[in-house]
Amino acid sequence: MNEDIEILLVEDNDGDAEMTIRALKKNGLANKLVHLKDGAQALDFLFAEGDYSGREISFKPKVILLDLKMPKVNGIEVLRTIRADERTSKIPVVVLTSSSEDPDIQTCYSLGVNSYVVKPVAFEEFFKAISNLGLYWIIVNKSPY
Amino acid sequence: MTKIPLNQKLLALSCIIVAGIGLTGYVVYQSNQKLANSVRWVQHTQLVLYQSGNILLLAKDIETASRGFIISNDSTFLQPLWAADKAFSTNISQLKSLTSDNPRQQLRIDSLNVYMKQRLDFSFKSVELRSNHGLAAASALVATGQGKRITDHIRQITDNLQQEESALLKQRQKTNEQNIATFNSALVALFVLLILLTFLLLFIAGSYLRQQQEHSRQVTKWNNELDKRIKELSDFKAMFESAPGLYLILLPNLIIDAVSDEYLQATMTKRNEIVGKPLFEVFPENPDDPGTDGISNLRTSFNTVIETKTAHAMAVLKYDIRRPDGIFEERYWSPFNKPVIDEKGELIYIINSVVDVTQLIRNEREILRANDEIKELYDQAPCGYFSVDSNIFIVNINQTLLHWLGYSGNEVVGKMKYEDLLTPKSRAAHLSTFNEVFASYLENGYVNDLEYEFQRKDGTTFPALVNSIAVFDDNGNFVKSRSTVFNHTERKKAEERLKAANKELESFSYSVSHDLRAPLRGVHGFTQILMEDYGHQLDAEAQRLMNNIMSNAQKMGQLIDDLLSFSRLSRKELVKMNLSMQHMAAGICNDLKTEKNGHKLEFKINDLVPVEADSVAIKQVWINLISNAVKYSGLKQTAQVEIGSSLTEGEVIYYVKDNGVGFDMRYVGKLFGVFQRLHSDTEFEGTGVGLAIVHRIITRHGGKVWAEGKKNEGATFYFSLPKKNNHE
Repeated sequence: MNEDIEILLVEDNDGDAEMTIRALKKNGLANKLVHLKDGAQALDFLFAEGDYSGREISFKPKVILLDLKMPKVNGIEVLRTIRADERTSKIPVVVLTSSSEDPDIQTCYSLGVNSYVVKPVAFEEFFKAISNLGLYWIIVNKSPY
Repeated sequence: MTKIPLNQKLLALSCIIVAGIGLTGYVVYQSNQKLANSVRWVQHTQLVLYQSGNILLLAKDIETASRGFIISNDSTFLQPLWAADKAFSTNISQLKSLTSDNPRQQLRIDSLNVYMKQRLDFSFKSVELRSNHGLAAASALVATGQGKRITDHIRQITDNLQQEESALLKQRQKTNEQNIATFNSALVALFVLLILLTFLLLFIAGSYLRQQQEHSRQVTKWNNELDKRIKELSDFKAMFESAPGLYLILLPNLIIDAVSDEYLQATMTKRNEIVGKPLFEVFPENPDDPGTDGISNLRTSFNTVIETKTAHAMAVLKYDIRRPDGIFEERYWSPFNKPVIDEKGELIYIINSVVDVTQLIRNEREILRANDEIKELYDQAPCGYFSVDSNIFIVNINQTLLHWLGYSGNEVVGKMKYEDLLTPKSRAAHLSTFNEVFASYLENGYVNDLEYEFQRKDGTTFPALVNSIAVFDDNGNFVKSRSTVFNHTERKKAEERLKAANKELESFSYSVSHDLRAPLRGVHGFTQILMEDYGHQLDAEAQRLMNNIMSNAQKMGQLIDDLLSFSRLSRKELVKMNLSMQHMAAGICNDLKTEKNGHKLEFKINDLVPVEADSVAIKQVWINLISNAVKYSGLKQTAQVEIGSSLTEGEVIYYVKDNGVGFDMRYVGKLFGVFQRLHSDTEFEGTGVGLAIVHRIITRHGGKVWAEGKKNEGATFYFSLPKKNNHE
């Protein structure tokens, strides 16, 4: 359980998750990927609580791909919580969402999101978008730790 | 002299002169008669002398003839004898008739006649003797001397006769001369008298003429003066009749004597129809107005004037006027009755001066009615009205606001200050910023949308929005406010409801965008994955069908996106700022050029007027219109898009013109509807939301959208925006 992690994918929709993972895989970026299905799991994971209480908290992902609309704890709450805690506040977070609704963007940026991506419906575009951001955050971007 | 009129004197004098002339004539005539008498007498005397002379001559002839014959016995000598015999009796009778008035001469003539006969007898005897007895016998006879004596007698008588005639003549002539002298003296005296009288006449006539001339001059003068007076009178009449005012002159018995033109005009009467008639006959009361008291009021006023002989101003009087067609017209008058008093202090006329105040009364009535209406509007308005004076005391408040507050007017007006109507909290806030707010209020003259919490008499509260206009006097001093109060309670509730509804809608949209898009993405994605992973195992038809699945999913995603952005437009608040349309349009054109690399695009961007509007929304408008223009010009070799603007009063009009496929104007109404399209997807892609969004955005800005086009000849899309955007 204590292992290096590059991408934390928080996504309740299996279809989206599968397509995301497929896109990342195609680019060889899915080796150190953890997929969690809701916000509660994500918080437990990041703060090594609940099911993940034995996990080493210092293993931080290079990027969190966060869906917004999720059961239990939604993406915005997750974002707010990790930004509020200095242990997790610096982790790059990319919001992946189906929603292009304004309030979400505003809220997310004011909570300190690093990127906000609306998932295209067309697979080619979706694939391209995921590939680009995976490459960027894993390969191009220099992480803060 | 002066007592008898000159003309009588003249007449008398003239009579005297005429009598004098007559007398003179008579005297002259008489004198002439005397003269003629005298001449006749001379002739008479000469005739007597001549005739008597003749007789003497005849006597001599007789003597001579007889003597000659005696001597010569020649009978030729006897000739004169025969002639004398014949002639003498004629002479004798002529003489007798000439002297018939004188018996003495008659006697003499008779004697003469006798002697002449004797002489003739003697001669005849001597002649007979000579003839029969010879010379001697005859001479003897002659020698007797008888013949000579007879002749001497004749001569003697003739002389006497002639002497007497001459003496008579002398005597008569003397008498005549005396008479003539007397007449002449009388004539001279008469002439002198006549001349004197004539002079007198001339003198008197002269003075009479002078008098007459003087008189005539006087008469002319009087005439002139009279003419002047007549003219003055007629001028006065004309002046009175044309006087700028309504005047009626009445005799004391209220008979109309004169009237001014304006009076006639105002009462729709004619001068000849009313002058000389009793006032109340000419102007009867309106029988359809049972409450009329015009006549009795007027009569009372006239009686006052007649009794007191002083002017009387009447209160406004309703006295309807009968039109020529018999219908009465409502009229109000302000009458003033003034007496005209003569030298003896008697009332001779009443001047009835009136002013037609009908219009004034109507205006007044209208003002009262309007005031009532304003008062009613003020009191019954669906908002509160109040005014405060410079000390912020309430001076006016309408029923609506009183009703909201639960106070009566008496409890508030002049007794409460504005802040007394507020809750303690609102009052504190109000007072803390009062000086600042009031200063800007006085400077701007108004203040808008101040929020207060009002406290009712029963202690309950309500929120309200207050707008106020400051009223200043001519010197710019604040007099009072004119404030409106909008009860916010309902609006607040509505706002909350709206907020809730919006929130609901937002979450609905959120769900739609999220929940619908995710499965669609799945459909699309997994179909794609299927194609990628197992495509080689599928035949061409299967691949085509899978492509269909994907394109449909993509299409649906687009529809959802468009629908969401359209619905978002209605909710998103517009943030207005000055926009450089020029930059905005140019930027969009550049983006499109880059995007459509390969297809030939020509943009012509004319001067675009800047405008105040929401940046994001207007950018969307430009994007939709310009990209539409490009899209529908896609079939042309070179797409030409022209963009421009024009200014009209109050608004700016922008247009985007293309050379594309255009449209049929019959369907122009469908252009701006949601999901309405004039082309199929296979011709031109699209969801039919773009122009609906344009329409929604422009409408929310208070502008208009319209289009012109013709099939295959391009289209022009216009939108207008208010110059100063106050719509929201």
